[in-house]
Amino acid sequence: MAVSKKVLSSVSTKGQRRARRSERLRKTMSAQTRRTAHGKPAKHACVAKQRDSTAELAREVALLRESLVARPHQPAISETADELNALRRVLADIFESRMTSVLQKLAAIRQAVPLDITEICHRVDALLEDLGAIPFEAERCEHLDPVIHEVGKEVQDDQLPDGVIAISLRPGWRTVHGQVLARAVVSLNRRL
Amino acid sequence: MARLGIDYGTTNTVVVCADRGRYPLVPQVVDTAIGRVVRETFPSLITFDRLTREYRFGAEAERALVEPGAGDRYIPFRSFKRLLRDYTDGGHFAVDLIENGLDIHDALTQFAIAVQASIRRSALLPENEPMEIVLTWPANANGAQRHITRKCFKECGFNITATLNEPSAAAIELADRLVHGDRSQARKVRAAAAVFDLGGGTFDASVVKIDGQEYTVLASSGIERLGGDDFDEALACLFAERLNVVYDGLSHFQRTLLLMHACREKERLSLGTVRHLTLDPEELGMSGPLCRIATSVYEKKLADLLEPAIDKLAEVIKQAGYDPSDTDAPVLDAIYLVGGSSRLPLAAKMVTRRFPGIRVLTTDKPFSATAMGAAIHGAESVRVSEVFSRHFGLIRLAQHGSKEIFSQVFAAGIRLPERNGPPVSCSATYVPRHNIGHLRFLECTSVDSDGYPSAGQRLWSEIFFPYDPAIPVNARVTPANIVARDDLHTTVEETYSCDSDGIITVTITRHIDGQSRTFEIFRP
Repeated sequence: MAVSKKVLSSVSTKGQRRARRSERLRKTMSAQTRRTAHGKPAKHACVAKQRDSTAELAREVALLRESLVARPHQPAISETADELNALRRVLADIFESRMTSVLQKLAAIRQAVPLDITEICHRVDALLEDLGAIPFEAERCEHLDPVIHEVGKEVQDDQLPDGVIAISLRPGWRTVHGQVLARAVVSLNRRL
Repeated sequence: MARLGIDYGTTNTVVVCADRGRYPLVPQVVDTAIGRVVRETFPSLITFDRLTREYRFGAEAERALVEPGAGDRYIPFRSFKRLLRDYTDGGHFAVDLIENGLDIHDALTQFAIAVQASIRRSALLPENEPMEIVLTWPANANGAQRHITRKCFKECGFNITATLNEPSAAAIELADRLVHGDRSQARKVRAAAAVFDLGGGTFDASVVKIDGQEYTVLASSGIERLGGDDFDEALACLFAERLNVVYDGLSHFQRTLLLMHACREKERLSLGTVRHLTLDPEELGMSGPLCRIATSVYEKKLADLLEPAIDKLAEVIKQAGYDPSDTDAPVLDAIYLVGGSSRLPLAAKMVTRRFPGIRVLTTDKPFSATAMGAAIHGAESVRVSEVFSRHFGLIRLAQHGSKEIFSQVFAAGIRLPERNGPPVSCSATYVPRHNIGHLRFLECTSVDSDGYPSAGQRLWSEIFFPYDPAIPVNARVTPANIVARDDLHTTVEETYSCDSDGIITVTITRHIDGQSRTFEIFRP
């Protein structure tokens, strides 16, 4: 209860302050309008103010000029930007190579986990996806491609041609740049 | 103009380009059913199609092997680079698999063309964009291997600006790594490091002193036949044993499939948590239950294979003056493990155990470290001073022809000349005792205490040079034409020169008529 009272009081104080400020502003505005309407006093004041500010600006320019002459050569903005870009590229390279290395290890662990331990499989999959890896599946009847597929086992299905994929056993994983982290494990059809 | 560093490896070929002070890997683009995918490496696999008599390379070669009926149609060559050691001009390989065999020079040139096409496609380079490359090869590669590699890559259109030994290129990358890729700092690094380069086919060890942009190789040696291929073979033999089949009894195609599977299983070891390595016999077209090998059993075999490599590293470190057992000797800053096989946890473990006082660093770029070092060398003013890592000499007859001796011409450790500088040369003059000289040259990686070749011997093609002025120097002669002659009254001069790539040529001059002939000495 005490707290709410304090809050209420602070609100009212703010409101009062705001009201006082707007009253002061209104009075100033009306005084300026009155002076402008009479002409001279306002004009004189403006000219004096302008003169002051011009002198101040001239002083600032002189100071800046002095400091520029005194200071050694500073690189142009474009040079600094180039350096920043180079640094950014180096950092991106380091980050990417480290990330790829981590992803490769994680994908290898994923392929080593037995399929029946679904909980761990799901967790590792989620981790891989969070880190930017993309899963891919092998299609049934697709020709075996050792670049992206790995034979997990062989089956004999007379309805399928020899040397094609019968079933996809595990998904493969790749990075956004297309690097294969782990090949998809498939079962291959072998007709005797 | 594209500036590239190319590491032509036994298992994989890696390309790194120089791009405004950065050295990114050139990804190899492959079109697949899920769209374009990129790979870090271009597989060095070569497959020959019996039907069309054409080669396939890289991913295409891998795809050919899984086609139905591939066993009858294709001949795969997994470690083609290993064949280059025994190259002789016009040399053929696979003579036991195909009639008249296949031309090594032709196969390697076509492979280089395929690599070039892949780089153009992946880096989006126009057809006429010239490519300046720095090519790497094993430190212990013999002259024949260096000659044929350089020749084929040049013939396919690459402009080779320099060549580097693989461990030296890795040392350049190490300097970059020590300062986290800050090139301006990398140019100020001062350190001494031993590079332990365990690749797919060879092992090299070098001690390199880094002084800013100056890289001086203090000692270098290696083992010609030790690498990932041997580790794969050891695992493949274990699998074959479990399947109750004789490994050598398997067909060439089955063996290749088994080795490729063993390689994949071995790579799982780098995860560090694998307890068993498995093989489904159906993959080889055989029946039977799943075959399992305990990791500990395989690691025992691996340890036996790795031991000689670690001994060689110790020998090179000692040779360079950094003997860890000598308290007065300076201490190495690091041992740097590079190459695909350095990812085996056992390799790092064994090196650390053997050299407890030295910091052991394993590369974070096992495949691309060498190519990156080569790219840096090509783009910046890095100077590398290499040493000749083999012993080269002549087999001569002594004690009236009853004994053969090895007379060294260039010993391991001599400093190679700078690129475009004058070659290292030496000459000998003698009085001939026959009408025709029969010269037998030999290279080896080490010699025993008596000066005889003890490891990595490679006999060059024999050279016949007529001393008799009656026989033209270009005449085709055979050992049957050789007769003893004491009446020639002339002297003969042999001049040997070794260029910056470590390739040796010999010029033989008979003084009687001033006729001479130059041989790149592995030529017949």
